[in-house]
Parts: sequence; C-alpha cells; structure tokens
Amino acid sequence: MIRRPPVAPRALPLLTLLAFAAPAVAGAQGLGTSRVATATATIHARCDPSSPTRATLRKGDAVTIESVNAGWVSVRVEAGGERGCLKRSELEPTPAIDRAADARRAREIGYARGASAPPLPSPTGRPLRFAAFATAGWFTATANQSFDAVLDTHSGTDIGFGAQVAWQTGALRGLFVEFDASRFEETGERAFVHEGEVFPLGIPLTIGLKPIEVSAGYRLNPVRRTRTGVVASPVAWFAGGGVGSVGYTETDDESEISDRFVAYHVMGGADVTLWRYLQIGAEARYRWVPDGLGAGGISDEFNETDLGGSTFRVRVGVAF
Amino acid sequence: MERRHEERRATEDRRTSEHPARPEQEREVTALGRSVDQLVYAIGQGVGGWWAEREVAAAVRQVTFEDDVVYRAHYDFHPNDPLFASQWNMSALSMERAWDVNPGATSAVIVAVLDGGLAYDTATYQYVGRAVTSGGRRYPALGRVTVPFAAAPELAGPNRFVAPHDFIWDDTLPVDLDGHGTHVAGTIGQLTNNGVGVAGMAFNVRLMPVKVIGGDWDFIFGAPNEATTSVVAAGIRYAADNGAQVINMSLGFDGPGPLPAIEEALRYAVGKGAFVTVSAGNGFEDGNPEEALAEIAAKMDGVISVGAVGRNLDRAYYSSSRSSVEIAAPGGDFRVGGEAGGIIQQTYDPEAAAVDPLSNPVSAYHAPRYDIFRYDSYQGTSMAAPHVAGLAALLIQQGITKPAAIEAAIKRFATDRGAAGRDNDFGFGLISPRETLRGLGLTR
Repeated sequence: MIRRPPVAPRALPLLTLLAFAAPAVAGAQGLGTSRVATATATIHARCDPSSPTRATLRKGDAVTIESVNAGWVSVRVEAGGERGCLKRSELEPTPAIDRAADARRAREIGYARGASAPPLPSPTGRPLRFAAFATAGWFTATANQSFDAVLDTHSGTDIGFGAQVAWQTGALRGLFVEFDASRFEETGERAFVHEGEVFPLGIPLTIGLKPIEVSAGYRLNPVRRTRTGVVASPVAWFAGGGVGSVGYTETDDESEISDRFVAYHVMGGADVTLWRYLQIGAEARYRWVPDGLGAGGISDEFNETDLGGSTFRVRVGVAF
Repeated sequence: MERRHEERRATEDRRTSEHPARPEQEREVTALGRSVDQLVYAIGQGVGGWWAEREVAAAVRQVTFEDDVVYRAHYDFHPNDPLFASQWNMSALSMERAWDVNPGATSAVIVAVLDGGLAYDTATYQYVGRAVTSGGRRYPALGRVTVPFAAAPELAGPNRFVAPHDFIWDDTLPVDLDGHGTHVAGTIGQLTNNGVGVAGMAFNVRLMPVKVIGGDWDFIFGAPNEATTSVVAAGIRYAADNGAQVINMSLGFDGPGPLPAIEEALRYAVGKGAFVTVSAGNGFEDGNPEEALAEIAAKMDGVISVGAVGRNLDRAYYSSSRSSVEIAAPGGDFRVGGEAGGIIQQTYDPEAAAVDPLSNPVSAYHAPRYDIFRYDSYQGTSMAAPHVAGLAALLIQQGITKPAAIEAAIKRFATDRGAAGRDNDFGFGLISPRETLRGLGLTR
C-alpha cells in the first residue's frame, strides 16, 4: 500500500528542485526492477534519510531502478509512479544493481587514484552564457589635481552598457569576452593655476569621457556536486583585462576639442542571479590612458598625463 | 591616437549683425580654406593691428589651427564709442573679444592711479602763481589766479572715484595740473560703450586718484612737496591701505637706485593684495639707462614693469630695452603712423591747460584752465603700463586675485614678440587679454 506523504513545504529548497532537474550522475538505462525486501521501506525525496518522505512501501512492492548512488537507489514506484530514493539494503539485490554499484565504486577508486573527473556540466545547461547589462557607477580620475582644478571634483557618475559571452563547457570553460561602453561628463570652469593654487575663472567647461572597451577574462561560477547531481552557485566571480579607446571632449564657449586615446584596463567583480534570467553585479575597473593628458592646459601645469582612473559600478541585466 | 575633425557651425549665426568681417575679408579667408570663425579666433590670438590695414591673410596665417578643434568665435561686445576705431591699441589687444569674456570688470575693483592727479572734480580753485626761472627764461608772477576745473566727462560717473589724496599738496584734492594722470586713467577706465569718444580697458572699475608727482604748475603754484621717494612710497601705502587692488605707476626715477623706501612700500602693497604696474622707462635713445623702479618690479612678484610697442607691435623707439622689462603693451610710437600711432584718450586741451608752461616762450605764458578736454594722442611707457593695469583689473574680476598669480598669468599668456622667449625689448611678450582671461582648460 502506498501512502502519500504530506505536501512538501513551499520553502522546499531550490537545491532540491535543481537536484532533480539535473541529470543523474550515474544515470543508466536497463537497470530493471526490484522488490522491497524489508517489511516497510521509506522513499525519501533525496538520497538522504533526513529529507522529506515521499512514500512508504511494503515488502514485495515493485520499483523500477533508475540509478544506483552509493548505498542508495533512485527508484520509481511501479504502482503509483512516485519517484525518490530508497536505501539499497531495503531492496532485493539484483545483478543489475550489483553491477551498477560495482561500476560506481570503480569510478570512485579511479578518481581517488588521480584519474580525471568527468567534466562538470554547464551551470545553465548551455555551452555558452550570454549576458547584456546596463551599468551605473562612480568614476574617479587618476589625474585628480587637474580634474579638481577645472571640475572642483575628480569623481562623477559613469553610466553605460555592455554585453558578455562566457563559455560554460569544454576547454574554454570559464573564459568570457565582454564589450562595454560608458560615459562620464561633468561641467566645471576654466581656471588658472599658480604655484599649485587654483583660480577658477567662471567660464563653463565641460569634460566628457566615452570609453569603448573590450575585455577578456575568467568567470568562475562555482558548481557543487550533490549525490544526485550538480548545483550551480547563484554567485559568479570574474576578473579580466582588456583594451579600449577613450573618446575625450573638452567643450567651452569658444571651441570643442575632440580626441581619442588608447586605453588599457583590468577589472574584477561578481554577478548574482536574482531570479531566472535577472542578474545584478558589482565591478571594479582600473583604466590607464597614457598621454591622454599633459600636452597643455591645467594637466600640463600639474604634470598629469593619465586620463584614466578607477570605476566602481553596478551591473544590472539579463543572462541566459 | 585618433584625431577627429568636425565642422560645426555656431548654433546662432550672428555674423550678419555682429560679425566684424566685411564681405571681401570673408572671401579672402574662405580662399585660404579657413572659416570666418577661425578668422575671428586668429584675432583673439594676438594678431591684432591688422584690421585697419586689412591684413586678413596675414592674420589667419599667423595662427596654427588644429584639426581636432572646432572653432566658434564671435564678437559679442562692440563698443559704440565713435572713436573706438582709432584705438589701434584696443584692436591690437583684441579687446572686443576680451570684453566678451569680461566686459570691463565692475565697480568692485579699485584701481589706484599714482600720478600727477586726475580730472575728477568740477570746481574752481585759487592759486598764487609765483615768478619762476627756467631755461634762462624768467616767467613773471601770475599773482592770485582762479583756475576752473572740470571732471573729465569720459571718466566721471556716480561713485567713480575712491579716496582721492594729494601727497604733493598734502590734501584730499588731487586735481591734475598736467593732463598726464587723466590720460593714463582713461586707458584704464575710460567710460565705454556710452556713445562718446573712446574706450578704456576696464571701464567699470572705480578709480583712486593719488597724486604723487608734481608738474610745472604745481611748482609754479608753490606746492609744498615734490615727487621724492618718500612721497611716492607714502602714496603706494595709502593706496594699499584704502582698498586698491591694482596700482598703476606711470612714473620713474632718475638713476639706478636703490630705492629702499619704494621697495618696502611695494612689498607692503603686494602683501595687502595689490598688484602694481610700473612703466619700464622711456630712455632707450638716451643711453637706455637703468630704471630703478623697473628693476624693483623685475625682482618682485606682484609688481610688473611694462615696455611699450607701437601700432606695428614692434618695440617703441623710446622704450627701454633691459632685463627689467617684463611685459609689453601698446604705448604708442609717433614714428609709426604719426600722432595716429599714439594712444588716444581724453585729457585736457593742451593749449587751454598750458601744458609744459616752462617749455614755452614767455610770451605764450598764461594761467591754465582745466575744464576743456579733447582726445589727445600720447606716447610712452606711461601709456603702456595702464593697459596692463586695466587687464589686471579684469583678471581680478575674473577670479585671479593674488598679485603674484596675476603677474604669472599675464606672462604665461603673453604673445611672444622679438627673440624667442623672454627678451629685453618685450619681456615675455605682448599682453593677450582674452587668452589670459580665459585661462586654461584641462588639456588646452
């Protein structure tokens, strides 16, 4: 007789769902059927005696063997179709169960002797992960004296967007390539500097930076093996570097200067998957723009030549 | 590095009504592959002096245009003073474009004119003219004379004059008995855009008349003091103590110095926040002697000595050429263009005021009157210094308030003339008011 257990609480851990959604590590075809050998046998939701009870079987009840996992057997009840884990000792032994158990033990011995583990499956089930995101953050210029002189600050908001492709399987697993563009713009005033003292002159001056950058790096999305499968962490870490081009504009009432400089950067951060495809992340980036400044003007007075700086920003987007 | 050339028109095309270029000049500029905006920008780069001669091509060719800069330059301020066109000195300094940045400062800035007085008062005063002998000629006593004075119409205005003081007569009536101080003050602060006469550099400032020089008539009328170093030093301290932010000293001392009282007073004034301009000296053809006051200026930050250029922007024939020359400004040169090559400002009619009475024959000797004015052409480093004083006033209004910084800015943006770099004729070059007022951007 089969008794249905109480409905699992709504707070059933996500891991449980993932465990069942993930393919079984030792999945096999043709393991056949077996019968309950003990007076009663409990089917657990997971191969863990503390996991919720799915059903209770009586001696002689038939089950289909789906996989063998150490001392547990993943089964489907012939009569009701319930799925779950039974202790192997509660079933009548069959040759198929014994072979599956032996094969599993052999693999585990091989792993222990250094044989390569089977490749981890993709965290999302796909070989590539695509992400598109918008960014908003805070740029702080390396040339702080020069920026302070004309803008009265060397920091400001930085907004942008980007896209990322990451490999999740195979030899390139963990690598990513990213493109992003951002924009920093602040208005201050022209100035004169004498012996380090700044005299603002009241003539509006707008400084604009528009970096376009390509990055490559490593993205670590930890996955954890469970007895029944693989669980991907919702948090992924990334680090990388790249090159780009920084568009520079300096605009006042008389003229508009436009220029573009080669830039280099390093970056690092983390993404968190919030819900389905939605993700949020944080990133720190340091950019070098050698000789972007210093050819004249205030930056020459302060002998500052790097147009780069650091950016801390939040990334919000979708990934699939 | 990739450079981008972008042509962009000003959002508002004002050339029809406000641009100074004439059609033939526009055609000439266009034939050079340059825009009219670039032409106006070229004028702003200190290549003035060409306008009257229509040297458009020369003006444009003197400037290096950079491909990654979009030029959008326009004149916005055009003084309606009818004689402005005669002021080559103003066009040489591109003052119209400088006034676009800062239209004449404000009354918050006080400029002291340490000179022979100022036509600032409308009144009648009585003097006793004593008999004097000069050049072997004896000029008879005039006895008690009533002398009418009038404030120069192009200088006077509500609250225009601040704390007048006379160190020659020891009173508070520093009237001008010569015309020199009035002319100098005009270059600094002549009323401008009032539909009358000529323009001044910083036409909204307040003027502080401080009389420290006595002229012939001061001597004839028996002034108790003359222009000793202690009198001038007292004048400098007085100006600084009474709020002058700029002090113009179109004067000099014979001999090499030292002038410890003057030097100490100048240090005091600079310490109180006053920027000081001094004339570099007019003795080039008299042996180019050392000028003690200019020597002090050259070694003191916040005090600048000014040499003179003519309308061709070359050193004026009289202007000292010494290591003490720090900067150059228009001072006029009658050898280049005659009287039109001088600096025109409103001052006394020389005949009525009997200017230089002891240089005239006794038969022409008569009591002066100081209520008749005309626009007169002068030359000298005395005329050059007030151009720099006016620029300093504009700079203070613009935000550069420390004397040493003002001097540094004026030198930093000067247009190099003569030998490359600093030289004895021009110092660091000809002042560039607009560029100095605009200061620096992040990269330019």
